[in-house]
Amino acid sequence: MILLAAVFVFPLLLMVIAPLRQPGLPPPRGLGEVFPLSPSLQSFRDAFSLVPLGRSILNSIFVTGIAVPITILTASWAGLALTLMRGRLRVVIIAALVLLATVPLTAVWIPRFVLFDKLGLIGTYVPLIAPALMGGSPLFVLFYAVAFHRIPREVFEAAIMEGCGALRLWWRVTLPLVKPTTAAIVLLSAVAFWSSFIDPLLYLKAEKDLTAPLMIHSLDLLGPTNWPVFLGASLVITLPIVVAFFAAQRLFQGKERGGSWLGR
Amino acid sequence: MVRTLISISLLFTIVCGMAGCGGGGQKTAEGGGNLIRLQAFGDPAELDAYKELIAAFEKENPDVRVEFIPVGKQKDHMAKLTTSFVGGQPPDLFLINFRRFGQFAEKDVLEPLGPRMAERGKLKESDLYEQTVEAFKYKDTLTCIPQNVSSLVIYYNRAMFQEAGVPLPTADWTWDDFLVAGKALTKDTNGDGKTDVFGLGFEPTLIRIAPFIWQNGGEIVDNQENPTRFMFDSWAAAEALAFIRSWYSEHRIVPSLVENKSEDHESRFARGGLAMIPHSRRFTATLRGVPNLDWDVAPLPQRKHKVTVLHSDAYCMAKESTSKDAAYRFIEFALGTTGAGIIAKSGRTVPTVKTIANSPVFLDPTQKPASAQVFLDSITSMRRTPNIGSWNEIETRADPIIEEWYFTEGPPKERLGQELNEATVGLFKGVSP
Repeated sequence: MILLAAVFVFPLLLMVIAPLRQPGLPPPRGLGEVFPLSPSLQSFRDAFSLVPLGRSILNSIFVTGIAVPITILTASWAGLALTLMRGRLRVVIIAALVLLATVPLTAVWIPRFVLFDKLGLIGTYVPLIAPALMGGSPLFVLFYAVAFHRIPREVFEAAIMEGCGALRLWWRVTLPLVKPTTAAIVLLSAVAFWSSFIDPLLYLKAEKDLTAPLMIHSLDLLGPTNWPVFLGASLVITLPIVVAFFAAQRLFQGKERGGSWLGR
Repeated sequence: MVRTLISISLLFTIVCGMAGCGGGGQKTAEGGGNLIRLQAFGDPAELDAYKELIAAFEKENPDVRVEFIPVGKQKDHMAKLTTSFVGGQPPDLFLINFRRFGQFAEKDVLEPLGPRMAERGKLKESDLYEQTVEAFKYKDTLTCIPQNVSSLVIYYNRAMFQEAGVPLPTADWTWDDFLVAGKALTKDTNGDGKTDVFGLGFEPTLIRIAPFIWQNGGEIVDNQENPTRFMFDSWAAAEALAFIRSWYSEHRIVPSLVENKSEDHESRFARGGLAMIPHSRRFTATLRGVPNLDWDVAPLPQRKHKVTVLHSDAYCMAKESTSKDAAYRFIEFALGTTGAGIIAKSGRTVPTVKTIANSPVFLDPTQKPASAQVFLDSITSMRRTPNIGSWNEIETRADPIIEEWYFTEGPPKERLGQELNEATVGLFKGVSP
């Protein structure tokens, strides 16, 4: 198990060590040269001066910060509606969600671009955030539907008998019971919006509006002698997600329904 | 339920409002067609040169504003470009490689710039290298105006040549000289039975093997203007292909497929693990940053003919542009003394404007390579691949087959030309210029 973990940790470790190498030097020859004898922070300085990395990180924070809460709202609403629904329509909707989850993004590039163009939204962040209005991904809606489905039926019935409306049922009764699911979706959607490359590439124009993944692609072109710069920028944009992961650990261990992330 | 719906609508409105503020809003060619959008690709230093160019242009033309759309990789540039053309939002101006411009010209979405050039007269075809002008003609009309002309040359480690006592490459060195040098410079320096320094790093792709076929008097396709199939079965082409394959299968002067994938040629050359590498001008920028590397450039070796392959990018204008006059004024400025000088200073490209290419701005004696003149001398012996609309797709399908053929141990099972023709069935139907 430790060996397996080491295999996965190694590339991350390399990403932490490699930026300490002075940029401009020939690439290291073998593992022995990977650890720099005289560590330098020059590659981080270069990453921020060669491209507007700081600005792009703020833009990414803006997009992710808005998109993730909306994803949680819409995915949990849709999940709850699906749980409360009965009969064949429910089966049809679940089948449709599974089917939608299999549609590759490239298949909808052009229709989406035309749609946002007609709405006059090209060059704004709306096309990047828009998926959040639909639950972020069909899978997130299904995750919530499964989590809510595991809550005993009596809980819903009791709440409704007490006069709970739809919003109150969602916010006061069901959402607190599926905290680990919410934590998982917060993380998954944050990773998806944070690292999204194609949407910002297609929809954004001005350099001041670009998000962090586009900067990484740009630095990748600097050539092998500047890999420390490329990896330095990669490290900087990976850190917020790592921090988010550790911060979400407490939520994963929700006491209400046991330890697992599906809420039971 | 009604409350829920109202909440959703309210939320949607808030989100759209906020996101709209953050993005800066839709930018169309308002203000009498004096806003132009330029999309270009390149590394950060190259993109900085464009920003400097735009600032200089705007200073001289205060009535025009240029919105720069920078993209890193060429692949991403193409994805953004094709989507924006299909979606009806193309940039007014963009840079594109001659091997990729055919697909746009064929769909009639480009504004032909030749007639406008003749009408305005400030910039003339004769100011530019004719090999690049010819490459961007579609149906005999100059469609895009070339910005750079980076031919394929051999970068070599001069110190390695001198240490091994191998004569330095000359302007007229031959295939035999090339092979002798490659063999002499391939070395196992620590005696462990594994090669540590390779004589040559070669990327087995169509664009790289083409000049060797042409040098031997062969052709890569049956008809340069109206190609219908690959022509690798001629004796001249077969001999050139056998020469290329011998570097790995017989002489082992190039890294194997595994070695190739574990460390790319550029890194290997930069750290001194490779003596020679065919590359375009772009590699100069990387090497200038490597301390203590003694390197220079030489023309490709020759056989029956002296030939190299064209690498060139041009400014193209979208037919849908509503700021055509302003956009053309930008091209005139970019290819004028000030504009072309700014781009040439970045060192990444060879200017297509003859006066700039032959000036100290490009041939800077204080900068490597010492033999920068080689880039200009190679221009006269340039040939290009056909510019039919499907050429990019043809290359994409051909390259993996060429790589497999190149690294096959022993004699290849299939003939390369036959395999390539089978893999590209139906793609050669494109309308030719």
